[in-house]
Amino acid sequence: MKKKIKSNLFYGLLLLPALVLFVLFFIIPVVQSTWLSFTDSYGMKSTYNFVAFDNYKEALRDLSFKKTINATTKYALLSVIFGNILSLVLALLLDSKLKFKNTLRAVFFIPNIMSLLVVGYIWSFVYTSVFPDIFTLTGIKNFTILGNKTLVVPALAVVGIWNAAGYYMVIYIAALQGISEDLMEAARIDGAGFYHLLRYIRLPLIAPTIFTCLILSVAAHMKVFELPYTMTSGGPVGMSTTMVYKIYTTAFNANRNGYAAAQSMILFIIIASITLVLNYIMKKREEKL
Amino acid sequence: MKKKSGKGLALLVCLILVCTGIVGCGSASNDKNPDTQEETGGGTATEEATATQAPDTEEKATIEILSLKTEEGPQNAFNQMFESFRKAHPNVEFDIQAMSSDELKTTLRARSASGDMPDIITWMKEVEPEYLLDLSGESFISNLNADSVSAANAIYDDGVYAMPVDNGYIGLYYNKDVLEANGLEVPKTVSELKNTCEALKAKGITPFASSLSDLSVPYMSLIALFSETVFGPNPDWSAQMDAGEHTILEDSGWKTAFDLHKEFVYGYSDPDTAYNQSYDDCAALLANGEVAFYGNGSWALSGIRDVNQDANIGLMAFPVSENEQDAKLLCFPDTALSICAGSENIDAAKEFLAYVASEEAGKIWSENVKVSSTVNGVNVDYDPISADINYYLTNNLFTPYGDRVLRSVFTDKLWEIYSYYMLDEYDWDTLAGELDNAWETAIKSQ
Repeated sequence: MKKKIKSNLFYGLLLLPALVLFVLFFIIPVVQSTWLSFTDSYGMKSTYNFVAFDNYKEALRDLSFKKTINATTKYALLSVIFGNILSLVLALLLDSKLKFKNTLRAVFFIPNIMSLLVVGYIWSFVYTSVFPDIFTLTGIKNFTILGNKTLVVPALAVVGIWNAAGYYMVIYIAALQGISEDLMEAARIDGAGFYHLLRYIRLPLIAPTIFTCLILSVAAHMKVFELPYTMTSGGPVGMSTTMVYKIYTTAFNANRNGYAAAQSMILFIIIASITLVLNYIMKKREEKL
Repeated sequence: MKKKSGKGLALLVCLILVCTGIVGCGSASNDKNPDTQEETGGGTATEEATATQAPDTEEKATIEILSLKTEEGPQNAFNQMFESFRKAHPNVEFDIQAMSSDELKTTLRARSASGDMPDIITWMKEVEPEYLLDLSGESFISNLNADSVSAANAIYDDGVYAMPVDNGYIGLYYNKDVLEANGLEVPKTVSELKNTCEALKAKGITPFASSLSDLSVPYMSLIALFSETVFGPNPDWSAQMDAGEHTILEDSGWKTAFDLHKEFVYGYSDPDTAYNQSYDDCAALLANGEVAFYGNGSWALSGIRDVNQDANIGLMAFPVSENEQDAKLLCFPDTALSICAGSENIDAAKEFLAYVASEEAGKIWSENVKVSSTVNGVNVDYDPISADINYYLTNNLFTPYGDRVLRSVFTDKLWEIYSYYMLDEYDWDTLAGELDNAWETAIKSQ
């Protein structure tokens, strides 16, 4: 018994450096940020007061904050749905016997290794210079995509999808390649065509991967910051102000650390809820099978 | 035996890693604590004066300056001042970094948290006085226009934390050639401005340059407008608002400012291209005579001159009524320098500020930045436009109250939602209601 305790203590001590790092860089900031959300911490002031739920109440009253929830949800929905469909289509194409498929895989993956800030600046140029030139050349009446209240979020979503599609494509390709060739061959012998193979073999077998990609992309797209920061500054009229961009401006422009921390907590709760729901659906589905 | 020593080694490595992690996360040296610095560096007025008079005792020092003046003019001015200062102080080096105001705020917050403030910063109202050195009693402050010093420090109950370097303005630039070529006079009233804009529009000329991708451009015009319609007739408006005597919702001055802004700055710009235009593009449009009007501040002048040195431009206050005497130019202390309380080179930094407050440095700044200096006795004819500014100053047709005297929680909300009214997203009641709430929050926050 004594030996067992000694042995456990030894391994516990070996874990200590990792635990210290985890506590220093995760637990303490999370606790501190949660605590800040209940205070009126302001800018560079070194003192602050406990204000209970005032920041949360204000966030729920704040019209512009509610607007950011709308904008973020719209952006995330578009990016997650169309992004995953596109990634899946690309994966199906590149999992076939296509010529140059390796080169194409690399080409589609390249946008993902670029910083979103750089991507934002590039697409900003495309939307504000290239498209107007094309409109002029083709005789279409010039209009501003990023200045249009209806088009701005879909325009940002296009960029988000362009950036992330290659990443999810790689995950889908890996899942597709994990499907047993014997199973596919048996289905083909039974007369299954491309549609039937997809509908009854491939999609059901990669369903857990699809759920994983959905969870990953929801979390990633709900946290988008770089695109509104570089492309629209949240405009026009706050239509593209995402939650993280709003948190940034609250903390660093308005200097309201406490209020920004409360907004962060709300974002965390939203993302955690969506993830939990998706997880629940996935587990229910697995139980059925 | 081997196994035991291996385990011991593993535990030792773990212990070292844990200690390194904990020590690495400890707070920075107390040397940079502002409170401590105030004791060592604050000193009495006499001691400070003595320090400024004894440059020969100086040791090697590198003064770090964080500046929000990213334009070419101020950067040239700083470089010329450094060169000149170093002739008398060869042991002092400078390390200056220019960045946007947002970047500067973020940088200063991070550095104040780690007790690593620079030596000198271009003053920002967001930096709490506990991080700045009180320059009251410094002899060089008396070289500056007393009104400018007092206006630059208006947000503090007492003390001089900001040393104003220049006086800025926000008004309406106009291209004289465009008006003349179309047989138009410089408008003095709102109806004249409207007629002028309509006449230009009829001839296919966009009256106003404006950007919707960079919202700071139309925001400047809004500041000028509300300073004229709200603070022009009632300089005590903020104090009265704090005392609950006003609301923005019921204030005709605020409503007029927003309406004029919407009607002219947005309504007479080209909304189809405004989203593709930057701050620099707007300056170029005015400089090249492609538009007649451009609302912005003194800092925009060097950008206009960079595009066209000979642009025939003038500056006026926004007409806000049918009485031309109601049009008051917003003139205020603009660039100001502050010494950080945590500076390790306080003496050298004071020496430098003393030099900046000299006539020689005032001239350098004024000529390069194209603004009027706050240094007494410096009167540089930096641009033909200075005659227009003098007209407003000498006729007492100016107001010193812009957004700088407003709390940043309020101005941030104003900045965030002002365009909502301009672009018909909010009606007046919604906008004003949000601004009234922001005012209340600002009082509580600060």
